[in-house]
Amino acid sequence: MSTPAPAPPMIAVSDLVISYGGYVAVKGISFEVRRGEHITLLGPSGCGKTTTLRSIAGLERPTGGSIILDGTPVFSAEHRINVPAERRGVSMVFQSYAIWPHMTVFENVAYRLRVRGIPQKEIETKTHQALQLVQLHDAADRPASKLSGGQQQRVALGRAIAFSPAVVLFDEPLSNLDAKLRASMRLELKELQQRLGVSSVYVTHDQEEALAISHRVIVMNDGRIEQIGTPDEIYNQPVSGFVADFVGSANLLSGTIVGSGAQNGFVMFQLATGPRLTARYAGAASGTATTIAVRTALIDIRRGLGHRDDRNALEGRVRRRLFHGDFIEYLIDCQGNRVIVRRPPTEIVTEGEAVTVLFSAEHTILLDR
Amino acid sequence: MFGLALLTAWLNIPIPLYGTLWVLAIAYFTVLMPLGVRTLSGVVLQIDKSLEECAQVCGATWAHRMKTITLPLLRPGLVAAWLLIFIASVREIGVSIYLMGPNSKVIAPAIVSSWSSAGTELTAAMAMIQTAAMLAAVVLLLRVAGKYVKGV
Repeated sequence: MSTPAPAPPMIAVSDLVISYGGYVAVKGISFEVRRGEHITLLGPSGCGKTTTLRSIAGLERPTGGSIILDGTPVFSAEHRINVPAERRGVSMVFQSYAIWPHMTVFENVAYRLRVRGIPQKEIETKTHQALQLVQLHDAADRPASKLSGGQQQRVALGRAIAFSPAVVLFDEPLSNLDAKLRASMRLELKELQQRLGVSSVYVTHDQEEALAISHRVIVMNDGRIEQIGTPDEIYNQPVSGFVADFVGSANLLSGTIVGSGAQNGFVMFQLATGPRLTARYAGAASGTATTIAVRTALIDIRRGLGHRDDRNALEGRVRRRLFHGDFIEYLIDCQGNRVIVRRPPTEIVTEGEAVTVLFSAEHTILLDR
Repeated sequence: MFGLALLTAWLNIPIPLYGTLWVLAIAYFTVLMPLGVRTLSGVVLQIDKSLEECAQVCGATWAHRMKTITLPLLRPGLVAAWLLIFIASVREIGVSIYLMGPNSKVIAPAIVSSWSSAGTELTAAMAMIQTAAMLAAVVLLLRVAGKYVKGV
């Protein structure tokens, strides 16, 4: 994942505010999408991510701020600019696919080229190229309404890339597919993105998807940006409890910093329930931080009490065991704290058993909020 | 009720429409409009908004979107609504009985008046014509509609 060379951003959103009547859906957010960059807006339902995407496309009219596409202002509250969607020249893949049921696959994909008045010959070449890219070449003459969900998704994708757009907007394009298909489409999307060299904004509530396919992730919550960073930064250095919990599940434990502050990037942290732990001090965190996060997948379980090594240790009892297939989730009562642990299904601990949980200080992250 | 109201209105409005076919056309339009609006609003609501939005993002102007997306999708619904209104207007009697004139007869009230004056033969013949006309319209429209519905 290389960072693109510095150039004017493809999309620049600043201080965007979107409200409906008294309800403010987006509360002043700013971000940039560089050329060839794939950015994901990640957040729970109702956090304003889709509204933001739709306002970039021109389907939603913001109440404040500005949006600049490739150097051209397409929306500015200050200068009273609002370029209509049909003249913004972006491409969008809808959550419902928005396949026109009265047309064939070919006509769906060719629609945009026809609207632009491109000669018939060129339309045919470009449409067939796009269909080949999404592996639907054989289905070109079939009615679009007769396709399966995955195929409809491909038609939507083919339609979005047929005219070689500079910007593609994705509105939860994979959320209606089953898990297996989603995983393979994810891979295809990533390869397609790389081949086409487009800039894209991708909206999803699926954190796995966000981490897997983007250069940078923007975590949103309640109309605000919680954190912007590479998938690695978002996962390993969350700035808030919300990010830590939403992006890969985490245990959030509250307490206070004790001792003389940071030493070699680590601090002593006393949990509200008593035990002391060593936690990584990510730098951004202030001296008054009151929460630490421990990823559920990075905790080790040992049968019995009293195990000690150089890691943080807590003792407790397994309260619940949930079999998930790829992993087993344990709910453990640890000295007044509820700790969730995910372990591979090869290690089985029974409910009610006394255990020691161990996690390294490296994976115990001090949070600002 | 509606018939009386329309009768009073068009007798008092200083446009000489009473007794012509036009007043009947206006009356049918007025009386059946709610039925048409209700039927079509259901059809319009069923069309996913993103189908039009997608065309908009594709660069299509409002007129082009209407022509290539919205109207083709509405067509089966429009056909069905037309059929419904046609049937309702042919058998409509409450309003047309007040507004019919000697030179502008419509079939439903004509059947009623022939029943009371001319006798059963003429009445039965007219009823047959009415039924046959409706049947023909239904068959024709179901054919046409079926062609579109199959594709959707």
